[in-house]
Amino acid sequence: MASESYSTFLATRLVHDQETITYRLLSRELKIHTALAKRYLYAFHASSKSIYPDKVHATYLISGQKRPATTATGDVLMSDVSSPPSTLPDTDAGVEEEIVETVLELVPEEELDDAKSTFRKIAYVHVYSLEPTRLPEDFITLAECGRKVRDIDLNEDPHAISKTYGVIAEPAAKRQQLGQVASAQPKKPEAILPPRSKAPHAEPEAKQRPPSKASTLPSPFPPTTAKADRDRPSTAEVEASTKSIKKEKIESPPKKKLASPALKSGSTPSTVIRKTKSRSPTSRSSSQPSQELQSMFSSSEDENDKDEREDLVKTEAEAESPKDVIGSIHESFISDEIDLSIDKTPAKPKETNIKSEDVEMESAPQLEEPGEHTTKISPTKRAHRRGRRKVTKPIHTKDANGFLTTKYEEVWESYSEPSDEEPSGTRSAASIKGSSTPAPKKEKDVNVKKENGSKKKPASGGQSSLMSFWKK
Amino acid sequence: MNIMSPVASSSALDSDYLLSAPKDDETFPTFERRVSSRGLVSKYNDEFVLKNTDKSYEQQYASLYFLRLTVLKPRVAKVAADAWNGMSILSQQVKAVDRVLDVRQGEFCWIVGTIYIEMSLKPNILDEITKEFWTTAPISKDKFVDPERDAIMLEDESGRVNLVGSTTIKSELLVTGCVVAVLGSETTSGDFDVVDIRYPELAPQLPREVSSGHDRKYVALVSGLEVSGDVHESYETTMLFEYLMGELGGSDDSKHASEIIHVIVAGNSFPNRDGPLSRDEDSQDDNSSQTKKKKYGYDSKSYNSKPTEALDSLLADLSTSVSVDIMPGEQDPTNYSYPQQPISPALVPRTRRFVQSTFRSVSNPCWWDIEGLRILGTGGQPINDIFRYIEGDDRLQMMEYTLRWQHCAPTAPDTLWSYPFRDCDPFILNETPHLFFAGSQPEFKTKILEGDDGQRVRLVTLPKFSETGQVVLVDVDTLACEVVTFALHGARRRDS
Repeated sequence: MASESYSTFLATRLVHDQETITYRLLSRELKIHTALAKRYLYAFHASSKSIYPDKVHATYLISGQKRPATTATGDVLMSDVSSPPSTLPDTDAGVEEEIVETVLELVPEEELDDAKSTFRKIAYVHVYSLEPTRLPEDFITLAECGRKVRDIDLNEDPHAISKTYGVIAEPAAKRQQLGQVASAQPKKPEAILPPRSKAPHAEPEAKQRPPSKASTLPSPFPPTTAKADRDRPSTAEVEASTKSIKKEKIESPPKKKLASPALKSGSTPSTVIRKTKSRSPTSRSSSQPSQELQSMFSSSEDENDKDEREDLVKTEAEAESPKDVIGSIHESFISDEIDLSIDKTPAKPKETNIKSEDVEMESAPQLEEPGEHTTKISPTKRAHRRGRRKVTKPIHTKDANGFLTTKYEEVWESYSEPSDEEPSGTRSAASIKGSSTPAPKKEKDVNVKKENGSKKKPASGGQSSLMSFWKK
Repeated sequence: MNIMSPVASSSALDSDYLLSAPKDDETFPTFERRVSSRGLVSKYNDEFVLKNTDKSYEQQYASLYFLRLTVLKPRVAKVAADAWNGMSILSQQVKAVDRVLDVRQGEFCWIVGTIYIEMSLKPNILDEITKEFWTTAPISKDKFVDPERDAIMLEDESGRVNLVGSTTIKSELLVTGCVVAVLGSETTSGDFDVVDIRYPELAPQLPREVSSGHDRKYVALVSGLEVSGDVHESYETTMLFEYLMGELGGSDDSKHASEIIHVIVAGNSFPNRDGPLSRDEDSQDDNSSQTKKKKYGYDSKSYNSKPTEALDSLLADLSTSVSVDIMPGEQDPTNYSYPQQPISPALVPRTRRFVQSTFRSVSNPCWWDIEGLRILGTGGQPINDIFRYIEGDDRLQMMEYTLRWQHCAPTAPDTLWSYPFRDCDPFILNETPHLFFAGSQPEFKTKILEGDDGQRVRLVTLPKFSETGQVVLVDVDTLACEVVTFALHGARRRDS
């Protein structure tokens, strides 16, 4: 540090700008050690007496130990006072403990000598700040300097702060990147996405697919080359994915906005997909995908979607990231209809070992076949939230002794909005909750609680129709 | 602590070394904190932090009392048996009686139960309703105790009995909720005349290895920062943080600050929400929630984000240099009932970036294990509540008694609002800590408490920083205490 530059700097700050400066702020601005900053302040103050008399005022900091009982502030407890009526024999009643008290006091220069006399032992004195005129009694203008310092520190790495300014280093300190704190989560949802796509059925898919033409998704059947085996998503995964689905759902809404309810655009973040074994809608080269997409649209009914979905689930995600994710999300939406097909999912993968995108097209029609879907999802109702969910219902019966009893039973029930619910007798082995539809927030509530199927009517979150009040 | 750059040893620096012109080529020391373990004891803390999905308020509080008695009864029975078995009074053998109601007249026996103190001045829900109707000014009461009219009772699962015995029972420090054993006999009027009383005494303490070396390690405890963020914020708070970061003072000050391996901010980091207005119309009762007018709805205009921003800024800066834990107090934005849940890090977004490294938000109360030192800390609410039950103001004694009762919040749920625990009473102390502190107390006091089995506990009451400017440093190895005070020359301290 050139010795002249700091004086110029201080002169500008104090005399010209008439602003207060503390040693800390000086150290941040000149990028020097705080102790050196203290020296600079002192030197400038000393030299300014001749150059700018009365234009520069110093505030000092004294650290040390005070004389007891003569000070106005903080009278120290130099001896320990212990309590009387304790019945424990071993308490050191009456034993005086020496408590070392250190005082750090901020003093304007006029009162420096006064203050010094109140100290029994002075450890250090240094200049704390320089200002054009004496500071007000509670030193509030210094607070502004403190704020500036903290704002500067905010952008620096903790270890750099320590090295440059002389702040005590803490080896464990690590400031996370802004994105990362939130991203403690993100990995998971991403990872989940792919599996989710496995159970895409649960998800309302449509929204997700961003119109991006990257097709990935469309290549549901696209089977990932050697990934066929991997594609056997176990039901466990599927189930696990339902949970993740929830998380994904959280992501889906934002994504939904991107995607028009077009079919899978396949533009899901590949990264996400890559993470999971269970496939994620693989994205193929864009051109193809778009075509496929088109074809998907045209050929597919929900069934197609479903199948695709499953494939998607199976296939490994590939490059196009966005597509994949969107694809999977998309799937989830479509899954209203398909939700039941969740069970089928595992089966699906086997079928789809299509490597080429072209094959995808072919597979589309294939999708129609799997009659495994037992859902009564009406193909056309894509816009509605549909699905099956497990609900706890009280069943009143009269038992042998003539008593009316109530039993709570969990049944699968299909629901859709805005129409009425129809209880379905089918119990699905997979415990995927069909109700995991991200879109409607109210559904989200359902999802959150739904693990045990406390049933929430879709309408409960928001009236779908007045009649739903009576329908139950 | 490592000195990172070579410099003349601090002893060579006199007190004015910073009052001199800068020399070329001089380097200044920068210190480093040692790597140490600063963990939480999850065994106990997990019981304090309630999961949102698990919280249920449908149960009654009776189970909490029942659990307390079930756990503590055998412990105190053991102490009582050791003391009284084989003893005879008036040539009568004393014996243990299992149920309070089984006590027979004229027989000397000892019973175990929970103390219940009937106090007319205790806040009563019926009174509160009456107040609302008639809007009479509530009587301001710092204490509920009224020695003339209070009745002390012993209660267990079977029933209650009134305890009398002016020489013994009245002079003991007792609050509702502590489990004790009493020796005596039943009088003609059905009361139990107490001759002697026993507590569970201090729980066993974990042994620890004390390192003897030249490196000192300190834990810094501060409470009642009451950061308001407004223009007239007391500047001592900024000075405190500068000191902890090693920037304030000279090189010995920095060196000492570098020996602090952990900082615990124990409650009341936010200012008192009750402005002077509510003080006038309500009592000066500490537990102002009972007398405050109910406010329905929320007036968003009255939200002031300055305290959180200011605190966030301070903590974020501090976290670059030392690991910090923040514990809530009664004024902080978390639930009011005890145990208080950790303050959500979302409130302090800049500091939140240190959550995985040096910043942690903990519950109130909380157990720590720092380099083998077991610490139990509270924001001070249980002690403040006990204060209302007894005469006198010896906070250290109250803390001592909570350890001897093996229960850190005996007045919960009676007058200290608490969660209706169903499976366990998390305030029961199964272990005595090495350091026990309570925040937001009127002044700094400390002592060492020694138990029958060689336990040694350092009790510390932390004053409010906004009032006194004091932060307490406790040596991890020797349990010695030091105080560092920050002051503004001539400035008046802000009264709380």
